[in-house]
Amino acid sequence: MAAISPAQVAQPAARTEVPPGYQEGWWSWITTVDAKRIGILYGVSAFIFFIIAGIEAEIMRVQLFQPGMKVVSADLFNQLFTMHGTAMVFLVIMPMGAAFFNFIVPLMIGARDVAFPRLNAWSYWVFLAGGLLLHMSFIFGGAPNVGWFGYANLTEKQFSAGHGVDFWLFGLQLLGFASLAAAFNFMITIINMRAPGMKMMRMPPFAWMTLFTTFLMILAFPVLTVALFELMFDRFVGTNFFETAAGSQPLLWVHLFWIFGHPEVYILILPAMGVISEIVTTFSHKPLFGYPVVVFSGMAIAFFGFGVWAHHMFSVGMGPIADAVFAIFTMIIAIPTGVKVFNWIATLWGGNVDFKSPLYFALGFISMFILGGLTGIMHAEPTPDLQQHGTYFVVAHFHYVLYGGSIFGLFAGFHYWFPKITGRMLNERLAKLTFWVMLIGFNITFMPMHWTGLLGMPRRVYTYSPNLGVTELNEMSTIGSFILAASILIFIYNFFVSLRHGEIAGDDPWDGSSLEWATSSPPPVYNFAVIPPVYSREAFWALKYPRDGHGNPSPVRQTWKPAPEEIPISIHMPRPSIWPPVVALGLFCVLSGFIASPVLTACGLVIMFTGIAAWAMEPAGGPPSYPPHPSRPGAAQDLPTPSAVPARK
Amino acid sequence: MLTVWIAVAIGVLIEGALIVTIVRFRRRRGEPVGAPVGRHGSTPIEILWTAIPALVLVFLGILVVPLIFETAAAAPPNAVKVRVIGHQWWWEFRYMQGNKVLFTTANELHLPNGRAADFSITSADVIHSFWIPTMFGKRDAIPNHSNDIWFTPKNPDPNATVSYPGQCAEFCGPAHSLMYLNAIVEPEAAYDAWVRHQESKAAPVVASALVRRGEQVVTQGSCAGCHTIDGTAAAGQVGPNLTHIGSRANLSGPQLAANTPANLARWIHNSSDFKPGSHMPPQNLSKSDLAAAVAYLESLK
Repeated sequence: MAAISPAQVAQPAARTEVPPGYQEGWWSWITTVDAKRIGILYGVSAFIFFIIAGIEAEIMRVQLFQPGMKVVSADLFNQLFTMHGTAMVFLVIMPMGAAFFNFIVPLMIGARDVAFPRLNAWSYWVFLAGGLLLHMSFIFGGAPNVGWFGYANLTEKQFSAGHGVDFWLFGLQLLGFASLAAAFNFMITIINMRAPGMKMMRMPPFAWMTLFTTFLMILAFPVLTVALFELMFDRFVGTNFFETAAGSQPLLWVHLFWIFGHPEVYILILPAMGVISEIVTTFSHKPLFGYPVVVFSGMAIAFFGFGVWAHHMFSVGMGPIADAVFAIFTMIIAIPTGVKVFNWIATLWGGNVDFKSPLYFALGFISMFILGGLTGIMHAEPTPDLQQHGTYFVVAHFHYVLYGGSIFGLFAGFHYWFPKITGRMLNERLAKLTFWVMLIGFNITFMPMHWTGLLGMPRRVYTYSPNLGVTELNEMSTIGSFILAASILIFIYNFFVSLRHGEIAGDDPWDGSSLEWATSSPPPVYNFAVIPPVYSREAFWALKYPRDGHGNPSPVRQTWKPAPEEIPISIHMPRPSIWPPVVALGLFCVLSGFIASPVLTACGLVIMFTGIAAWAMEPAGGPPSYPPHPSRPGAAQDLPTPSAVPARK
Repeated sequence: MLTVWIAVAIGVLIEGALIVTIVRFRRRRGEPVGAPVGRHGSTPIEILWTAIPALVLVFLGILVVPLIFETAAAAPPNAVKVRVIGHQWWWEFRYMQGNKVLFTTANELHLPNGRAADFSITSADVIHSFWIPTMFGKRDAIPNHSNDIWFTPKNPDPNATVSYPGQCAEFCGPAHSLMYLNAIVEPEAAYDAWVRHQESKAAPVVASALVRRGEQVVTQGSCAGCHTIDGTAAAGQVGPNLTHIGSRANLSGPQLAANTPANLARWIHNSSDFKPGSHMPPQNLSKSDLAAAVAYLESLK
């Protein structure tokens, strides 16, 4: 009998067709409404902005290496620190958080998607438009040069005649709209779309911190929106909100900005704190100690965060009563923050601590954030703050909490969830090297700044006097910044090498406690073929370590897989749509037209309203996806299912 | 300083606890892992580590709040009163007696050693911040708003004259980094002499042709449009008062440039050379006119 070639054997009809819209290709990314893809878009964009803002910082550090250097002009330096601050806050830390909200939170709460998928996509495209508009300023007459906080009345037309401030203003408005839409989306997703059994107090801490962040965004951004509208009317229409010649008070801007600005910094830190809670739990192999307290501390931080804004204004002359009240509230916030740190340490205590790279970054967060928090307490006292305010001491403080805190936290999250997102493991040795070089570089850069500031060097200066005695400290900071930059290069290398050649991760490389690990890596487009049952906190541990009749958990990890009879034949996910990016484009044109030409604004309005109408009228429901099922031909193998990232075997 | 020590102590404690924890409970190679169980929490511990930091902060608060009120209290009645007006990018000082302006000067401040100095601070354009680091904290200079700060300078040696450089501490535009000032704290007698001298009008012109020519150039030329020299026709209100500029040690501050004829000439010719973005336009004077102007201004002791 002749050998039968494989080609002659009738192959079962493979359900390999990828439904339209989920095809690979750039169009599928533009029209995606899949939260996982939107998360990847946010993450990649944020990382690119991180590189740009980092280069801006490097140029500044070179300029400040020694007194009197002429690497950049005063005006260009002012543009650099304005763009560095604005970008890092709005285009790096916030969207990185959004990347994780999008990819991970629906998985964690056992949902298939977010509440409003097209609005979700719209948030991303408007964010991208805002980031592009801000950076376009470099080619159209110069970037904004008024600081990321743009104090009035420096921002009035009289003192800032060019378009830089206009790009800043409209860019931030776009970013505000994007953030608000995303916040509503996630709040409703978390409240309404949790899996059966996923009570609020069973949710993973990262989901809770995301929820509090959305509350902060919804209540804080409108204040900035109002302030920006007032500035816009002053600059374009001639109103007098901040026009001192007409008798107005520039302090109005300062208050409005910080009423937004202080909750904003909690928006920047709470997601990172959520990540740390997840990582500390998983890598201690032990439940989070004091879960209700950690959750309520997050709530307390968010709540009290609205009562402390004027601690940015102790030198403004508000009077001793206001100064004292804000000092007291600022000190109060230190308590829930400290309590979280104690609970993390208590989680590690008595655990079985596995030193993998995500934990390295998490420990980096905890140790650096403590230092930043302590200098924060020093700032909370108005009397010493009159020396510290406006100097490099503040720069040191906020870089410890925002880089040592948020950025280390985001890197921790990235190293933790990279396997889930891509299906591959990052190279552990390179990851640990990234961590050490980053930790060392970060500290060499920012630790000296505490002394630089206390010796009298103000911030936002492009040069300084040699008489100040801060030259060696500045040299140290500059050298440190290059070491920090090197760590980013190691990270980028690790990312690309691991994407191509990393070890296959499998569903659950870390023995994770939450539901995102209960599906494949990367997850199918519908997240779970069967939504896992939720019996407790640390929902996936409960499934992998089931309890016997006496309540003892299995000492050995079990594999959990859904029962075949529960797998649905098909799952419908939302249809991809071009209208979110179209409406975003329209909005971009509307606002850019204020700077460029009214014709552009008019076109923008047409595009926007056409897009909104089409969005409202397009049919709901997308084409079906078919989870692998024993009854269907080819069920024995893993059928290719549409997924967020093309699986590479 | 106490806040610093408390912060250091807390930092050492918490970082120490973190390090001890991760070393003691690290996973040992080959050890079986087991189920992920452990204490979920402990209400007494939570109460304890909420209460202890709260008490530390209450303690700090009790120390700090009275200090806030103390620094905001009114200045002693015999304090020197100076109205500080921030401009892009220089400091105007008006020494006051009640509501009367005794005299106006710029960038260089003289104060008597051991007597309180009471500053009433505002701005003529954008938000600045008045700061002499080695002397005291800062207070913002805000247009349409008046801020107060006072302190008592005390030189270690009561007979010495000590210079305390300062600079603007709130971003105010391109030359923010160079908005310097200098406070000279001297014995009471020297300070009184300085005050009397500042109150006098501009020094009469000496019988030098160059200086006379310079007086003409300055008081009848474009300079007079922005600058005031008391006792002459120059009464401009835009730029610094130059009545006694010859007696100032520095242009702007010791951090920028000494007040020498060469520097002054360079400044007049193109102030942006020193302060990028300076609002003083370059003065297109002929070489001889420039030399005359410099000679005249330096004579205004």
